[in-house]
Amino acid sequence: MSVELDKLFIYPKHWVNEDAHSFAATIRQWADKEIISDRLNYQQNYSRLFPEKSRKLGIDIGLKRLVLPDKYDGYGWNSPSYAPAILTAFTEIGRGDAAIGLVNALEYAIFATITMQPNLKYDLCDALAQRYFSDKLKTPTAILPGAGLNNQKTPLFRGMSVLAGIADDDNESVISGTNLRPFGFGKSADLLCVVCAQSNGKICLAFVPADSLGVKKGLPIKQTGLDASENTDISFESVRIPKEYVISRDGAVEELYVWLNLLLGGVSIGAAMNFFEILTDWAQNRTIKGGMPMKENPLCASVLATVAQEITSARLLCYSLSQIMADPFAWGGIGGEGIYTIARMIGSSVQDSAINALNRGMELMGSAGYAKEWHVEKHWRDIKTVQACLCGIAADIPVKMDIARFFYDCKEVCS
Amino acid sequence: MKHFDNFSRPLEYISPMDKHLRTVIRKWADEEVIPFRRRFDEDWKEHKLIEPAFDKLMGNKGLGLQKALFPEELGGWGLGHSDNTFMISYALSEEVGRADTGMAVAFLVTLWPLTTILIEPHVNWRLAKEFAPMFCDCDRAVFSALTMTEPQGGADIENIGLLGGKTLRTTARIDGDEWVINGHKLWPTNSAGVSRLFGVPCTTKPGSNDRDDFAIIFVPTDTKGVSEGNPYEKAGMAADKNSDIWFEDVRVPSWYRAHGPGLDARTFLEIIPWGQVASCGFLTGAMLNLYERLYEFVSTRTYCNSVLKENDAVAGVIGRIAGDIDICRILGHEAARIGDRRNMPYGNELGSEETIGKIRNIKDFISDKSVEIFGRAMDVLGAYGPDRNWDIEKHWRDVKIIQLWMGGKQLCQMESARYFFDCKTL
Amino acid sequence: MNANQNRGVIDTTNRMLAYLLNKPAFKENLRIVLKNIDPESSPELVKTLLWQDIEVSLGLLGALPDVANSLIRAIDEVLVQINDKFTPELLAGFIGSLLDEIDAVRLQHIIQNLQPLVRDISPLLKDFLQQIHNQITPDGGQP
Repeated sequence: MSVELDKLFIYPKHWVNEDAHSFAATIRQWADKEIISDRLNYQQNYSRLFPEKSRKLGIDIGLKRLVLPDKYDGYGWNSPSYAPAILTAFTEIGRGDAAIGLVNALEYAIFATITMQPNLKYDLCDALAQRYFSDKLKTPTAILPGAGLNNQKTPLFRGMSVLAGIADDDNESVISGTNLRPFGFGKSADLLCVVCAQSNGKICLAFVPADSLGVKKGLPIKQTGLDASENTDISFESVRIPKEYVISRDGAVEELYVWLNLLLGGVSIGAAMNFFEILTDWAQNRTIKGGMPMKENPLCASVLATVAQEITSARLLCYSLSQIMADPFAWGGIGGEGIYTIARMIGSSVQDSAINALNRGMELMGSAGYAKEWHVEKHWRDIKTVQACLCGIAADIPVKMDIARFFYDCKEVCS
Repeated sequence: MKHFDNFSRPLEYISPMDKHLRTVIRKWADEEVIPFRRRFDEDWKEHKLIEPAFDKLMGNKGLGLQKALFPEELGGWGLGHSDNTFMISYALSEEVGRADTGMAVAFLVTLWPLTTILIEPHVNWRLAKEFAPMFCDCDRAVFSALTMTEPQGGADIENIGLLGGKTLRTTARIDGDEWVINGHKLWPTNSAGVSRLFGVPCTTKPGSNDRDDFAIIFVPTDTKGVSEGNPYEKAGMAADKNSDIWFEDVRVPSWYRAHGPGLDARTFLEIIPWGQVASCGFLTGAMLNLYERLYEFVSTRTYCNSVLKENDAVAGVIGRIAGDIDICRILGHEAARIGDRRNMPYGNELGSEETIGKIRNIKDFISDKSVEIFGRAMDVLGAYGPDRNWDIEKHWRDVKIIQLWMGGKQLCQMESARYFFDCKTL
Repeated sequence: MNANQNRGVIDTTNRMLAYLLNKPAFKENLRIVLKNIDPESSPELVKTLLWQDIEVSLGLLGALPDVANSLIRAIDEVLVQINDKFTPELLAGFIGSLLDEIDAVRLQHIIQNLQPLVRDISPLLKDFLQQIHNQITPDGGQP
C-alpha cells in the first residue's frame, strides 16, 4: 500500500492557494530525493550533509526568501494571509528533517516580526536583508524568556524570566546577559534575536549580529535531538547594536511566539507523518501470533489508530490556527492576546499529539523503533526536543497561565 | 524529604543486608559511572569508558557480582537457592539503573540465561560446573546473553503461553552426541562480541507448538559457526550492545541443553518474571535519579521570580511526578516479592499464569509511567530538558526501550488479560 | 514519644522488665535468691564437681581441645569462604558500611565516662592489691 499522505491526513486544502501547493510539492520532492530516499547516508554523514541539504532548500529552492518582501527579492509571503501556505511548506520540511525545519522556522518567525504586514520595518529590513539573505547560508536563532536563577529577580515576560537587559546609549543600544540559552543552533548562529528587557521592565526584541563585539559563545551542548542544532550558551558583554535593531512595539514578542508555535507545529506534524509512513510499512509487512498481519490484530490496529488520530487532529488544529492568523485583525492582530493564547494552546497540544503518536507507534515497532537504522528514533528525539524547548520552562504551566488569563481574566497568576 | 532513599518500599520485606549491599553498589556507581555517563553515547561502539566500569562491578578484581548465582561449591554465592533472590536482584537493578540503565541491563542479562540452570529446583549441576570457571574465576567482567528475538519477531517467541514456540526458526537437531544449531537472532543484549556464552532458545521441530520441542541450548560464543554482526546504533542504552547473531551448523555437546523436553519450556517461562522484575528495578532506579536531578533544578531555577517548586501549578506537576515514582517503587517491590514467594505456601510457581500475568502487568504500568514522567520532567526543565548535562534526557531515551522490550506493551496487556479474564484465544 | 513507636526487641524487653520490677512478688523471689548465696559452700561444690565421678570431670577436660578446635575450625572456614567468594573490594565496602552504623559517638562517650570512674576507683584498687601483696610477701608473713 503506497501512502498518500494528503488523502489520508485530510485538511482544509482550500485554505491554501495553488502556488503554495505547488511550492509544497517542490519541498516534498526535495525531502524525498535529498533526505528520505537516502536517510541512512544522511544520518551517517549528518554534519556534512545537513548544510548541503539546507542550502538546496533554502537557497536553490528559495525557501529563505518566503518571508522577504518583493523589494528584497523575496517571494512576498510576508502577509498573515500566507499562514496556511507557510504551514503547508513547513510540514513538508519537517517530514524530511526536523532540524532543517527548526532552523527555517526560527528564520521565518524572527524575520516575520519585521517583514510581516502591517509591521514591515523597512530600516531593519534594509540593514539585515542583504546580510542574511545572500547566497551564503546564514543561521539565525532566538533567545527567548525562560528559567531564572534563584536569588535573582528578573524582568518577566508572562512569568518567564528575561535574562538579557538592554539600555540606550546615544544612538546605540547596549545588551548584557550571561549564559543565555538559545532555542537552538547557538554555536553556528549568525544572527541572534534576543528577547530583552529595558530597565523599566519593558520587553523588546533585539537583533544582534553574532559577530558583534562582546558576543561570547560557550562550550557546545549535547542535546536529545535535532542533532544538527549545535547549541551553546551565549553571553552578551555590553554588546552594542544600532537602535534600529531593536523592536519595542507591543505584541512583537507575542508574534514571535505565534509564528514559532505554528511553524514548529507544522515541523513536528511533518516528522510524525514520516513516522506514519514508516510505521505503515512496518505494520503491513510484519506478522504476529504466528502469521496474522500486525495491522489486522485489533489491539495493534487500535494503537495504529491512535497514531493516525493524533496526527490528524494535530494537523487540523494547526490549520485552524493558520486560518485564524490569516485574518488576524478580527482578533487584535497576530500579536494580540487572542491569537497569542490560541497559538500557545494549539502549539502545546500539537506537540503533545506528535510525541504521543511517536510514543504509541514505537510500541508496535519494538527494538526496530529504537534503532537508528529505522529513522523512527530520530523523529522521536527531534519532536521531544522541539516540545521541551517550546515549553521554555515549567512544562505547559506558562501556556496554562496564558489560557487562564485570557479565558478567566485572571490578574494575579504568574504574569 | 530530601533523599531518594525515602521513596516508599515495603520495609517488612527488606533484609538488613539490603542497605549495605546498596551502599557498595552506590559507591561504585558514584565513582565509576555517574562522572562519565554523559560521554557514554559516543562510546556506544568501543566501550572504552564503559568496559572498565563493568570490570569493577562484575569481575573478581572488582565487586565480583557475576558469580552470585553459581552454587557456593563452585565458587559462587549460592543465590540460586535463596528465598530472597528477586529482592536482591531488584536492589542491584535499581542501584545500577540509577546510574545507567544500559549498564544495568547488560549486567543483569548476564545472569538471566543462567537462571534456567542455576535456580532451584532446576539446577543443572553438570552445566553449572562447566560454566562456573568462566564466571567465577575471572578478574574481568564476563557476559552472557539470552538470544530470543529473531527477524520475524520476538514477542511471539516469548508468547509461549499462546504459541508454544511455534514461530521459532532457529533449529536444533541431534547428530550423534551433539546438537547442531542453525538460525539467525537479532537484538539480544550483550551481543556484538560482548558475551562468552549464549543461551539459545530454539526448536527441535520447526513449526511445532508442542512445548516438548522447545529447547534452550547453551553455546559458547567462540564455537565454530557462531558469528555476530556489528552493534546497532540506537537512540540510547549505549552500554548495551546489540547485534545480529548467526548460527551456521554450530555444534555443541548434547548435554548443553538446559534440561530436556518440557522442562526447557518451563524454565523459559520462568525467565519472564526475572526479566520483568529486573526491568522494574531499572526503571525505578532511573526514576530515583530523575528525582535527584529534578529536585536540584526546581530548587535553583525560577518561574515568576520564585523558585519553581514553590509555584502551585509547577508543584502540581512535580508532586505528581514524585508521587508516581513512589507508587512505582512500591509496585516494583511487590513484583519482586511475587517472585520470591514462589516457595511459600501462599505463593505461586514462577512460570504460572498468575505470576507472569501479574508481574507483566506491573512492569507495563511502571514502564508507561516512566515514559510519561520522564517526558514531563523534560518539559519542566524546558530549554534545559534536552540538555545532556541534566541527565534526564538520557534516562528518557534509555527507559523507552525498557517499555518496548520483552514483547513490549501489547504482550504485557495480553498476558494480563489472559490471567485476569481467563482469555483463551489471545 | 508516640505510643506506637519503638516496638522493637529491646523496647519489648524494657517493657517486660518494667512490668516485672513493678511486681513485689517478683522482687521478693529475687531477694530470696540473692540473700541465700552461700560462698562458704563453694569448696564443697568444687569437690563434688571434681570427685563425685572423676570420669565426668576428666572427660569434660578431655573434650576441651575438641571444643576449642571446633571454634578454631569454624572461624577458619568462615574466613576461607569469605576470602574465596567475596572480593576484597566488596568485603571492604560491606564491612565499611556496617561500621558506619556503629554508634561511634556513644562509644566515645563510654570511654570518656569510664575515665573519671577509673580515676576514682583506682586508689581503692591499688590499696586492695597492696594489701594482698603485703600478705603474701616474706615481710608480710603468711595469712
